[in-house]
Amino acid sequence: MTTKRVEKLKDYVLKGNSSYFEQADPQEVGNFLTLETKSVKNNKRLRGTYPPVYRKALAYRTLFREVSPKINAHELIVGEPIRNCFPAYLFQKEHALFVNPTGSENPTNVVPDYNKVLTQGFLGIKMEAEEKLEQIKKLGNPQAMWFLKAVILCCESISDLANRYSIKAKQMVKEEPNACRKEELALLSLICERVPARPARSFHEALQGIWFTHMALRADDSFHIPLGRLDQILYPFHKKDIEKGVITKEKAEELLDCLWVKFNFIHSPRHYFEGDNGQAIVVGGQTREGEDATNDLSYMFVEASMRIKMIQPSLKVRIHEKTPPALIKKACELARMGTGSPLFCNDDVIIPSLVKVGYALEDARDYVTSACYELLLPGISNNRPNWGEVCFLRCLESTLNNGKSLLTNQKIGDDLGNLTDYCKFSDLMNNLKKQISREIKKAVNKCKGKRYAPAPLLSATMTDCVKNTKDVSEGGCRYNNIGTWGSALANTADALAAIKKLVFEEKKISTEELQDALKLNYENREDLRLTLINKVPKFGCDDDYVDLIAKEIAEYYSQEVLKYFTEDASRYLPSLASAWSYVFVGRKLGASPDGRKARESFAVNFSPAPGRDSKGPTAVIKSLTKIDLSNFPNCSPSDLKFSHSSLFGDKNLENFVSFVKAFTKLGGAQIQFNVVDSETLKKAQLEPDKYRSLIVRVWGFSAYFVTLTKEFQEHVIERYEHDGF
Amino acid sequence: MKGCPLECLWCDNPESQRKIPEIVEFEERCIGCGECKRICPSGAITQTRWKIRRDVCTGCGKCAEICPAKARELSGKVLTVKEVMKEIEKDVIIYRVSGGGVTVSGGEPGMQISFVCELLEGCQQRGINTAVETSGYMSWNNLLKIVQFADLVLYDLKCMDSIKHKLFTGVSNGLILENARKIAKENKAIIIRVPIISTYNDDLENIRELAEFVKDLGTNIREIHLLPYHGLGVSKFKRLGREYQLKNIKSPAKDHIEKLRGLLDSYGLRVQVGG
Repeated sequence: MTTKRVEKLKDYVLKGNSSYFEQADPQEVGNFLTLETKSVKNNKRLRGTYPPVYRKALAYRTLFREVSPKINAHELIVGEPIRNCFPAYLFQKEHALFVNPTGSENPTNVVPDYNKVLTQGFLGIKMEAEEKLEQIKKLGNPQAMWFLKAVILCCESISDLANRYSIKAKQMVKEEPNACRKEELALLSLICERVPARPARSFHEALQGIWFTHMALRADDSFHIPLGRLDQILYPFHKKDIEKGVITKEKAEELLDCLWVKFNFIHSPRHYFEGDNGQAIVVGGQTREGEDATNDLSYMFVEASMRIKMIQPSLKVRIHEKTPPALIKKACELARMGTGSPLFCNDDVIIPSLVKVGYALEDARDYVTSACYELLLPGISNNRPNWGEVCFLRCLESTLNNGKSLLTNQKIGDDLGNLTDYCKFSDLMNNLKKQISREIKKAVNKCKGKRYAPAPLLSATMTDCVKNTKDVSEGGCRYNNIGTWGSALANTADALAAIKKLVFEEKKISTEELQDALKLNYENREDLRLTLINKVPKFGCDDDYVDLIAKEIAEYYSQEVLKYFTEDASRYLPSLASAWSYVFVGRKLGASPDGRKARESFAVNFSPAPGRDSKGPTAVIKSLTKIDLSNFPNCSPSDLKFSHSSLFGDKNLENFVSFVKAFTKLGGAQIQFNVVDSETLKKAQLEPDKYRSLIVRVWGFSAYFVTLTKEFQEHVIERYEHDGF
Repeated sequence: MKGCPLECLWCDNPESQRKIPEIVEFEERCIGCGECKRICPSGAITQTRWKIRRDVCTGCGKCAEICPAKARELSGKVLTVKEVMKEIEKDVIIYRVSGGGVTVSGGEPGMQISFVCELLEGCQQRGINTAVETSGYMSWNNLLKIVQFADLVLYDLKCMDSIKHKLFTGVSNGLILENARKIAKENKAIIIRVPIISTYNDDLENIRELAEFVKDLGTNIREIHLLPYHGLGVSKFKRLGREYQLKNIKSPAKDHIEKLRGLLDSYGLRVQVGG
């Protein structure tokens, strides 16, 4: 049960904050800060004197000095998100230096070392940086010196911000009529004075320290800075407090609830999908030594999500052979509530996949995920998991159409002929592979020489950056790999199976007939389109005919990507995922031989094409696991949809738990669930006001269904609704 | 298994009643290509009539095979034990993890005894748990045969009154009850399944009689499953070109089901609502 306080905080987010459902400019809404800050670049004295990394630190200092601390009624975790007001610190021409495939200048998908933050405190990190600065002064490395100076300034600035919150809380004590709240504010004042500047000493301090850091790291409008293994990091604090009687379990739960609600204060950047803002927390899994890491907090986090039922935070549950069944059961109970969490991650496939590509075993055991599902190492990786984009369906389109787009005739691949030139299926497969290699090469070239803008505050929180005297963006982390998506595998396999069976084997359709139909987007050929859909085995139905085609493409792609290395000898890592490309790239593709019409969305992530997995959920996971998923160290998440009623009741829960376990035994890597009825979704489209709190899983995050655009809504509706096992 | 000696008015899977293959119609999927009309060898589909003439249709399935839109599907396929076993083996890992297994139902498994026995024996040899769901309407020897390789027996008791039973299902229940008494003495785990259809068999008298009967059967009876009517079979009748006999029947009220549960409970019987 959530406490009254937490209900009020939830209300504040859902009702009091009117920008929640409208895409309003946040500066027009009173809850977020609007700020006129002096732009550093206007200061003639500073112009050209400081490098970008230091200017960024100055920007933090300016911002954190001017931001008004805001403590809302009932809060026990404080810190108002800062947004849309980070002072400009780059000169116009400098932006070109930090252009990269993501479109985000600031690093994304980097997870801080929260252990470091909580045990050293930012003033401790500042001291570390000062000592390092002393050491390297004689070496004459200006870049390192400026970096360390920037780190020092950032540590001071964030400590300063927290201190201003402390002062604010103290002021509010005087004005507060309610005796209880007076005490709380007094406590908050002490806490904010302590963290994150100094090491945390209690569970409450630890939570507040994490929140301040998290909030500060987003002040430059960064998103996708996930939180990692908070159950591991917070456990020592929690254990000590409980043993000493400093808090009760109920109080700890209330504090967690407060933090959970707080995550919902943070919106995605305005142009982005509400819900896709990277607040991912991972529970469970293995310790660095390979033992089971599940602890009380692992369960409590899942329970908090079950109580709060909002779209943030995004929870991921790691399971392995020794995971206590109770945790899996609890995670399934959360999953069947339909809020889209958790993503289940199978250590027994993922850890080997990471070790295969050069991660140290202990590091690999510490893995977490990004906002969605990409595999990262907390504190020690600047993995750019979404810098490369390969779409198998686009490769197929260019293979069948002289290297050109069906819709625009522009070049999208090499001219290796068109569909009518093929008399053998194996020739088609070979040419497809050539196109895939080409796309991989193109994706890799797009990454060469690209970097993020400096991030001194983020770097301060990383394990090795200060020690290495290098910013995250400059390779200060232990691991600096780059990931590539591989999307539309299901549709591509379905299309190839259709050509193999109906064109080459049964000779029911000629290549000319099919090519004409594709060019005309199946106009007047609904019979042909339905034949391609209904008379050919589909990926996700446990049929080797198509599954082995999918396997061949996937494994070829993996091998190819793994051949590439970056300038600093880091690797390119393949994944089977789509992020949003299933809609946005789908829009640019013509009709495909699996019966998909032009511009229609394709399969999300590593899932069957929408509606095609009609043989039950066990058939789906059989199909998925014919591919060796330890060859996809970037990630390979699958999405499955169940009807609401199919998972109700104890018996169905038991079956659901068995299903998840079977998934891991079969070699599955990652799986997430939508639990919702298509009927309900259709009703929500017609009457959005009545369905404001309806949540769905989109591609890697949960969103309020009514806030999605129509295309994304339609995709969720079209996904096959499994009715049980 | 396709084919059933009973013809319950409320049957949720009417396609399982007749032994022969039948066409199931989905008119809403039709795109009007006319291929089915062209290919039908018996003239069951004509230019002027979309719905199949059931008196003429031989169930050859050619229309279902050719239809691109799956507007016609053939219900009923001849399969060998080997073919079915291949399907079963696909989910072996899942059975092992969940403790689940294979249930043979229908229709009536007792109408295809040698197939059912061979299949279930094969499953048991592979360490797969087995169950058989039966109406019990067959000779005692045959019933004994089909349950010999079943770890669990699901035994249906539709109605205790013999005359009503004949009205509702087409057969009287004497043989069914006699077989129930006998099978309860065998060393088999049994679950009694009772469909609950409003105004037909959901009265307290029927359930009381049922409770007494089941109580007497002894301890091999593990549970009673009450299966409230949900009407998902209605559209299936239409798709088979048949008339649905039950008019305006709603699902039984939740509190009535709880009343029935309470009644069975008072006899010391374990009850589960739903299958």
